[in-house]
Amino acid sequence: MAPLTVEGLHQAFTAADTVVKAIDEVGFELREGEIYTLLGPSGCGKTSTLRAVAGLERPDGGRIVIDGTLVAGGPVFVPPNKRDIGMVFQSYGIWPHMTVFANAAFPLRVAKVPKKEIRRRVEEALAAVHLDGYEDRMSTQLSGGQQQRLALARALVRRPKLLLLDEPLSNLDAKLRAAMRAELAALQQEIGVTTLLVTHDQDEALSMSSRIAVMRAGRIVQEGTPREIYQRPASRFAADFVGTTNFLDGVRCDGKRVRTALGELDVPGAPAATAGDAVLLAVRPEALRLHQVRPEGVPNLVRGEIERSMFVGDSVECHVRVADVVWTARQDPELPVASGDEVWLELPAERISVIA
Amino acid sequence: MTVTAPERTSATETPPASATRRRPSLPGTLAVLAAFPAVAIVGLLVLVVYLGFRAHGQPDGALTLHNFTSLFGDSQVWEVVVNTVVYVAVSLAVALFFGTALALLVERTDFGWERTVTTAMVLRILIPGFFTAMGWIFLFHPRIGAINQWLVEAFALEKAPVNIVSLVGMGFVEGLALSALVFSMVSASLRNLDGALEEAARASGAGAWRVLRTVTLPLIRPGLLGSALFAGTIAVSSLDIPLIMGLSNRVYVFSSYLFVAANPSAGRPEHGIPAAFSAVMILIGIAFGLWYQRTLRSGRKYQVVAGKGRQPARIRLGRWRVAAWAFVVGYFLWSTILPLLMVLWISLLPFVQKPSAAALQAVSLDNYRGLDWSFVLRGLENSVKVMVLAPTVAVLLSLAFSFVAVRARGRYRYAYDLVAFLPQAIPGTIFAFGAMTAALYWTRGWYGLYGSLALLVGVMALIQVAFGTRMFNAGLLQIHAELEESAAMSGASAWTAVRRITLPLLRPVLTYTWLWLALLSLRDLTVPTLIGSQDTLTLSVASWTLFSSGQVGASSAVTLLMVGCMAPVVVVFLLLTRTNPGKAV
Ligand SMILES: Nc1ncnc2c1ncn2[C@@H]1O[C@H](COP(=O)(O)OP(=O)(O)O)[C@@H](O)[C@H]1O
Ligand SMILES: [Mg+2]
Repeated sequence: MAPLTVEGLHQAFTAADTVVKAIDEVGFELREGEIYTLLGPSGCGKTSTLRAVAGLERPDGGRIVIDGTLVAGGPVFVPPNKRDIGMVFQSYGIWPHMTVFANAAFPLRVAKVPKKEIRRRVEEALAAVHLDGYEDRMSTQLSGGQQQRLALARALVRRPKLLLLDEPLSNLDAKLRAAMRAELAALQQEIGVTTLLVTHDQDEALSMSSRIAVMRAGRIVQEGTPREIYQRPASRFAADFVGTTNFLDGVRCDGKRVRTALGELDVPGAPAATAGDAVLLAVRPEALRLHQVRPEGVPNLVRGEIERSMFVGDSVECHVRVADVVWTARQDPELPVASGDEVWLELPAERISVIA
Repeated sequence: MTVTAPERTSATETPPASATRRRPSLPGTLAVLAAFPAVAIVGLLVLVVYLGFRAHGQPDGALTLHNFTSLFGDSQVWEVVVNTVVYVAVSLAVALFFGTALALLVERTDFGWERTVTTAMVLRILIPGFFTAMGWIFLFHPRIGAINQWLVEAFALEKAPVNIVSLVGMGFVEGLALSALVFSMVSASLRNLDGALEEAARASGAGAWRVLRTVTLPLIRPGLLGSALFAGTIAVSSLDIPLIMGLSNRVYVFSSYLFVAANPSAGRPEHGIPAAFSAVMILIGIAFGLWYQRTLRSGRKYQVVAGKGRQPARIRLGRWRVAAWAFVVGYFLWSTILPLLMVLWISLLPFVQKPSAAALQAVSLDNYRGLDWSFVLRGLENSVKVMVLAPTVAVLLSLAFSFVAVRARGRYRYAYDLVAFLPQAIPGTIFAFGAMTAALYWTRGWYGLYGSLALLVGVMALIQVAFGTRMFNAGLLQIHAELEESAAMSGASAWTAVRRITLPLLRPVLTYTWLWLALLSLRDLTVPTLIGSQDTLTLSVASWTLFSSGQVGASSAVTLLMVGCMAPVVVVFLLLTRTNPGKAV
């Protein structure tokens, strides 16, 4: 039984006489114990979807089933406090008038769990997020990262079936964010709670998720593992939004070749493809191989000229003018290139995505 | 590519039993509860307008336009209309001048003493209007005023140079009383203004005056307008100063005219013309109220840049410091200290005399000893009841209104917001008048409310809803919705979330709103005089009764007792709002 199934979800908001379709036919299913991520630009309906799952918003249409229990659909609507869900809000929602302990104990107190049990479980939860010893502090005395972990402890203390995270790391500074990414993923794995994560940060999505759904304007446009999403984007939007991509228009010659303005290129085989279809090729900057001397016997080679090279520490980013467009190629920082150099770019066939 | 969810069999899905039984939502329930006071507020206004179209304002009277024609046609009534306009204009001019000048001095110059002045101004608001009125009468009455007498003696004048019991005098005293309110509202606007805006003007080479005229004042226009509207409504509404200063020489303004017409010393009460007058006032109040709200909204357009601004560098007073001191000391001396001392002085004398060595011989506590204590204690008991009950009811009602206005989703919330705003834009006198008429005609019988404490408390609470809602709306808006939603996600029901999260977070606002309203209830003379009876006599009414029957010394004594009663509450209030004494207004 899936921990969460969402089918045909719809939600529209009216704001200043215009109707915004915040959620438009969204459907997905979570597997036991995974981190499933909704990834998309701001305003694409991620939070709305999450809030519908939480029960904070009643969807206009569609069904939501949590662990085999229909919680929204038709006349059925289970209020949020009756759903077995833990949630971490973007602002954390830590109650400033309570201590750390009282914050974490609140869900258990509401559920009328015996006192002794509460103490044991809260201490356990706080220890899991490394907040043991902070029990008696006022919650306002915690730093941003600590508040975030307290919110997590509070969401998990009830041992919910499902954990919802809305941009959980967006309020932290860059360094702490990277550290918390690993910590959060590790903790989730340890507890094994099925998690629905919402983020607009591709690094967060790629590094933490088991599967990602890319959203755009209220719709899911692609679903897959981080690798699939990154290496085989199914649309220009997905390719563009997740990472940097170099695009090239072309027309199929046959299953394995595409004719472009830069010549015919080998692409990964697609037996079902028909010749004559217009396609879009996408290559990641780090997939491009840059040669300063024209290599012999290498297929998929195009000539270009370095416009600018930018040293960014762990790599050098070369902006290469190819015909009338500028491509980005990420190369080893030791590469000695300068503006105006003539270079050859190799496009390895297996790393080209063909977007229909 | 669009991902569609896989086909599923729904055999395993079991909707929980509680899911289909829909509980009423919290804002929905509160909307139903708040509908009663909302209907009462609107109903009272509708009633007053309706009575304006009936002969003599009797509900069963003939339908007529006579009340409106006499409002503009009858020379006596027309005089009241003109008086009211002059009186309000003078009050507003005085209040805005002193309030704004003091606020600018404290917030924008290096005068210092910010906390002291702000606290003194809060205390100033709490001093009953009739107290100041009595003090000024003892100072500047053409016959008994001490200063007038001195001036006449010193310069051998034929007649007293100042007549405070005139229309302009009344407006001046009311204006002094309202200046504290204006001060509080304007200094709050100044504090919320981003100082960078003014510093940018100064950096562009503008002098202090020019910055004030072209940047500061235009930017706090909504605040100024709000305080003017607020002060104007109170000036029209308040009965104390017009009664004490105007009644003896027959200078009537709206509130005192309404009181006298409804409680004539001889003949039958006339409700028709006061009702017509009120109807016009309601129209003006609503018009100004809507204009104000529009200004607020357009003011918000600029606010994107502002946020919680830093204070700009303060203007150096330099050699103007002496003048600033003279202004501040003069203001407090004349508006508060001297009137207070005069009331104290008169309360120790058998009859009104100016301070002199001879009069000092007559000083005694006889007025206090000779007080009709059963009368005073009755007043005290009622005052305490009103002071506890009215703010409690008002706070509960305001909470319901604010929850609906801020947290409900439906469009109906705007209606609640508007209704709660009405008592701020429309003089309280009109609500009291409507309630009095309603109680008089329609609730005779076992459910009779006429002259009951319940009616008094109810009407006061309805009027106070405007202030309470304003405070709680601001308070609720500051509580991030995710704090409440976190509670829901923790398994708490909506009511539990309110009880355990929202109300505790709102508690500081709750406490000082309650205390503030309690103090205002105690000092109020308008509503208790209009709808009170012997059974609901409050201290303020007792003092007025003594004054109007010529027992000036005893009246002064009762007034001082009342101020004494307020003191402990004031102390608690000041302690609670210690960090920001102006916050409550
Ligand atoms: N309560 C609401 N009222 C009106 N519009 C809303 C409301 N909530 C969300 N929206 C609109 O729905 C769209 C999706 O919003 P949201 O789900 O918050 O996006 P995301 O979380 O992906 O940034 C946005 O255009 C937003 O303006
Ligand atoms: Mg969002």
